[in-house]
Amino acid sequence: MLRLTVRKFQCTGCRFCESVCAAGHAPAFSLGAARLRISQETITEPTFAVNVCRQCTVCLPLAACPTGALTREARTGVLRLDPARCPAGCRLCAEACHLGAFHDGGHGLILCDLCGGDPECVRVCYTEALLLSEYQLPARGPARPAREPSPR
Amino acid sequence: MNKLATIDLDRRQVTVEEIAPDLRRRFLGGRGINTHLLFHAVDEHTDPLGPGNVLLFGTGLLTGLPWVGASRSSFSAKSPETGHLGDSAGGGHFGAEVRFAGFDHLVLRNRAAEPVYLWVHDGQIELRDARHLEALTLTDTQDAIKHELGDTRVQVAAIGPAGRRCVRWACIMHTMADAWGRTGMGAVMGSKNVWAIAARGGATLPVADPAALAKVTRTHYEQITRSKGFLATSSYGTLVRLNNTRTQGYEGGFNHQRNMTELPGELDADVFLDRYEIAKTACFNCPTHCRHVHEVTLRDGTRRRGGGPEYGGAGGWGSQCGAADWRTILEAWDYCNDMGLDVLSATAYTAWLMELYEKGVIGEADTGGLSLRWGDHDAIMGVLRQTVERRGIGALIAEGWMHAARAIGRGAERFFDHVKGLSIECDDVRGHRAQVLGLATSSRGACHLRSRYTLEEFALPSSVTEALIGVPIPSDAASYHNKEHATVWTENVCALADALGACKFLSKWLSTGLLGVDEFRDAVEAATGMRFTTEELVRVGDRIYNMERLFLVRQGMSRKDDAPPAKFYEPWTHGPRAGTRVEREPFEALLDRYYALRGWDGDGIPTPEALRALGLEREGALVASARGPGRC
Repeated sequence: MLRLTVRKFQCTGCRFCESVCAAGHAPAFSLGAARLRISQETITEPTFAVNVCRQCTVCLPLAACPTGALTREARTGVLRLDPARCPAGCRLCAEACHLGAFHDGGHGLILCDLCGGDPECVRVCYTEALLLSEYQLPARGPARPAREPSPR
Repeated sequence: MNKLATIDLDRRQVTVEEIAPDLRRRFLGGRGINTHLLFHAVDEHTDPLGPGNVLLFGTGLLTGLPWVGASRSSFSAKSPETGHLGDSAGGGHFGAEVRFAGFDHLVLRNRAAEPVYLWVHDGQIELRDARHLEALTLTDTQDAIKHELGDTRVQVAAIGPAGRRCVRWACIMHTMADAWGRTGMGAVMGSKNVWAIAARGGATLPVADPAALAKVTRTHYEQITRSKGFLATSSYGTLVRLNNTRTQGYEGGFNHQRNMTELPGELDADVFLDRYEIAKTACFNCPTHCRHVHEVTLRDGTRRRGGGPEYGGAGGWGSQCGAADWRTILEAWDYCNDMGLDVLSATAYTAWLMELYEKGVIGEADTGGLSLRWGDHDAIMGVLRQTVERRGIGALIAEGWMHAARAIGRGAERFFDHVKGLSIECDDVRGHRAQVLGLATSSRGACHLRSRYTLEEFALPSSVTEALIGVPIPSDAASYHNKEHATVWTENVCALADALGACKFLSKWLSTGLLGVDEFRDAVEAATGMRFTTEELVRVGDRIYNMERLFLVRQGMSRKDDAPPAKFYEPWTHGPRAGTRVEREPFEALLDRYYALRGWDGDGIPTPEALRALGLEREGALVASARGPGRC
């Protein structure tokens, strides 16, 4: 399965990723439609914050969503936010996500959908601050072998 | 979208109008539409620092769109430094954000009663009190405004203390080192009592054919990142030129008295990268990330961070002022950026004063006690500080070099290297004929960004240049043959790029592998639906250039002003091409051929036929009535 890896110290702040993301997700171009956001705290700080979903194995928003609008696709492992089931103003997912991956898209929250596994943002990131990497979701059940019975 | 806002600062009124499709088609945007607006908004009598001048801001036709390097925008006004055409393009994220805020062009008229900054957001423009910014440097000004507006994604273009005090060569800055530098646009902004423009918005920009634009963008991205020039520009930025000019003998040393300084090896781009660079940043949508971020320990032990430098500062303080010492260069560079002084003018003025001091034209009585010895750190910083504080010699040069030369007397003006009142860049291109011609004819005065045929330095086979320009250009830089074609092509393509908001660092201005007019045409068609042939697009550049020429003619300029700096007629003293100089006769013949190619008469005045072909007969008639018969 695939997820985005962010190497924020490689980011030059060009926001080309935002542009192509926004262009790819809406017929008319508005940066508000971008599923990822680049920002800079102060002018003299050349490190940029890259806020985007990284398909975390343990996803706190998934547990926080009260309506089931946020789900994980079984086959690809990609988190999906269904706008039809996402009530306006709830934002519990956005509060639970410590990566700031949920963005206000103008008509409700929006989330990275990995563009079907070939994200344009990765393609235009020359410094490779954004990379696509493979991972395995752990199988269901206990993560570690059952403890040996205590000798006592 | 497609909105032009006029802000009457005196009455605090904002009026918004649509940009007519015809104007778009003829001038596209950015520098193009700015030039059109400026021509009609001021005249030959307008005082550049008076309320009658206008400050125009224009985003390029493609600025802000999802296309490679769509970042550039232009400020234009009548220049307080040169007294004629003022125009300066800059990158960063500001132009794109103004578009996202809902505007393409801003026109600032009159003068605000109290210092203000403009808050441009979501289709609205507010004038906000700026008095609390008075003590702040440029980076602090931008951070303070972002903090005040509560959004780190606000983009700010601001002036510093130099602009607020109307130093005639003050610039407008954005981030740490993006500048609209030349021709004193910061002084015009200061004279209007506008200290900054902040922008933020979520506007939707229409794209004619999103799928086609995505395809074009992907193709252009691949073309740029696979080109030979890309590795050099993305590692060194403009500093790539520092090493070229030093080793090939056209570096411009000690106020253009020598073409090779033989200063120590410290003055090398790799030394800068190794010791001082900590990061790279990029303009909007640009993979090249040519902007350096540096950290340096100053002489007083303080450690500071800054953006840049570019070649103009490194060569300017390095070889031109003789400071082969990165710490001095970076301190001077950062000081200029903090205060909002144009670096190219700052280096030219300092080198000029140093030569005057060396020749005994000025002494310590004139310089406010400074010993202006070549390469001296305290001398360089002293000149800059005095300028911002308007005292000593700084009080004179803050009013521009022409004023300073008159006040000093004793033939001081002969030592200042300029074209049409604007200083030349630090490099010394007298052996490159198309570049000399470009310097001489450049519409805002000496300029490498609107008329330098950069390709001349690469000794390209004439078959390559023929495919590009339509006429074979000799690979020998010292040849005068056919060079008028190279200069006209460069001037038209640069004007076109400035109107589109495209960066010349990603274009064939720099390297044949990068984007050319064909690529611009594809992007324009996909993004806006406007169909042009390649020739028609080049003609837009031609139209802009002729419009600028009409502006100059109205100011009383002609052939007498199309002259390279006097020092260029002296031979190069050092290096592999020692002895090379501009020869008067072949140069004048080259200028004649250039005028003929442009359709201008022997005195450099556009002929009525040439103007009619470009649809500029109305402007030509205006100039003719202002200047008398025979002048268009």
